[in-house]
Formats: sequence, C-alpha cells, structure tokens
Amino acid sequence: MKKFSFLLLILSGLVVHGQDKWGHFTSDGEDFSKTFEGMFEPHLDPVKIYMPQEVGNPAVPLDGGLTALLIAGGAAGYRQYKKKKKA
Amino acid sequence: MNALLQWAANNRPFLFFIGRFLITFFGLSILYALYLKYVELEGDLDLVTYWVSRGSHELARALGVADCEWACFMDGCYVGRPGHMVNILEGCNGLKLAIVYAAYVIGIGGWNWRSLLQMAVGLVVVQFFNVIRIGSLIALRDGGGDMYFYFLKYVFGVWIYGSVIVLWLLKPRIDRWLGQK
Repeated sequence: MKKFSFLLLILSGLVVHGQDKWGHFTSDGEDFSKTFEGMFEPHLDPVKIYMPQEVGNPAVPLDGGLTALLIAGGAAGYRQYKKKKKA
Repeated sequence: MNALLQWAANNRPFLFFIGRFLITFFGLSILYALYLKYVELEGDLDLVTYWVSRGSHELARALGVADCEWACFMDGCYVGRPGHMVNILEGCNGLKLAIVYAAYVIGIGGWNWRSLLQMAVGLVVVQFFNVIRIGSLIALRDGGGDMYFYFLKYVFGVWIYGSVIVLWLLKPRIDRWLGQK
C-alpha cells in the first residue's frame, strides 16, 4: 500500500509537471482560453440593436407594391371580361 | 403555338384591355416623370406632394396633434411636432396608385367621358385615402410607441392598396350609375 501511494504521488507529480511544461509550449494555455472566450457573453451589442423610436424623420412610402397592383389590375380585367363573355 | 394563337383569338377583347391598360399606365407615368423633371429644374416641389402634405397636416391637427408644424422643401415636406416629424416625399403622395387606377379604368372603358370622369374622381378618392393614412400616421408618431411602424408597414399598406381594388370592384356599378349598358 505504501508503495502504491508513493507511486501515485510520483505519477501525479509527473502529470502536474507535464501540464506545466505543456503550458510553456502553448503560451500558458492561452489558446485553450481563447477557444472559449466570450462563450457565455451575449452576441448582441445592446447599443447596436435597432430601436424604432430613435429614427429621425421617417418617410411614409407606399409605392412598393406597384407591380403587384398592376398584376392585380390585369387579373381584375380578365375577370371582368370572363363575366361579360358568360353573359 | 397554335393553342396560344387560338387563345388570343378567343380573348381578343382581353388583349385589347391589356394593351390599353399598359399604354395608359406608361403614358401617364412618363407625363408625371416629365412634370417631376420640370419642377426639379424650376427648383420647386410638385403640387401633389404639396397638397397631400397640407391635407395631412390639417387632418393631424384635427386629430389632436398640438403644435403640428408643416415645412416644405424641394425634396418633400416635413409634418408633425418637432422631434416627431414625418417626411412626405414624392414617393409617398399616392399619385402612382392613382395612375394604376386610371390605367385600369381606361383599359376597361376606353377613352370616353365616363372613363375620364372616373379617372378624376378616382384620383381624388385615392388622395383622400392617402391623406387619412398620412394624417393618422403623424398622429400615431406624435403619440409615440411602436404602433406607428406597424400601421405604416401593414395596416395602411392594406388600406391604400385596398382603396384602389375596391374602386375597381365598384367600377361596374359606377358604369351602370353613369348610364352605360
């Protein structure tokens, strides 16, 4: 049992020493910490979130659906002629 | 190909309608573009935007917007309380919608006095709906909150385009009322 405890202590010492050495090769574990950097921080910057109230003098446009209205006009005309044709 | 020709022969009146509809739309749009170019060269604001913004200003005041101001420049008008103003540009004046309405009326009925009368009345009705839209938006913006954006994007979009479609649907009744068989 004494031998086993001694061996465990030696092995633990080696592992700890090895970790310490490995830390020198990898800039003291900086890469490891970089991987998880900002992992639990929110991705949205509250200052950059779009707030409608902050808009200056917004325009009130309406001509965005003009093409759709033209197509609707054509369809309404077709419907009208179909009705006339039936009558 | 033969099937298409057959369809065209069977639906000749519809093709005439489409032709008149598109020619009138592009013709009136070109006239309006020339008018806009003219007022731009004169260093002035177009009359439609001017009257729509004026009407909206009056309506906003009637709706209770205190200290409602109204200022027009070459590129458009600003209406509302300072800090809560709405910018009424040429694209907001609703005339292009009135042009589409007029093109439909001419496409269906041709160039006659009934169509011209409906064109004129339609122009006034569409602008009336637009003044209600913008005046209400000024009042909503004055009140603050997000309601303004929802109304601008959804409710009044349906409102103004719906007004044109309702006028189209009412056209046969208006024709009968004007005595057309």
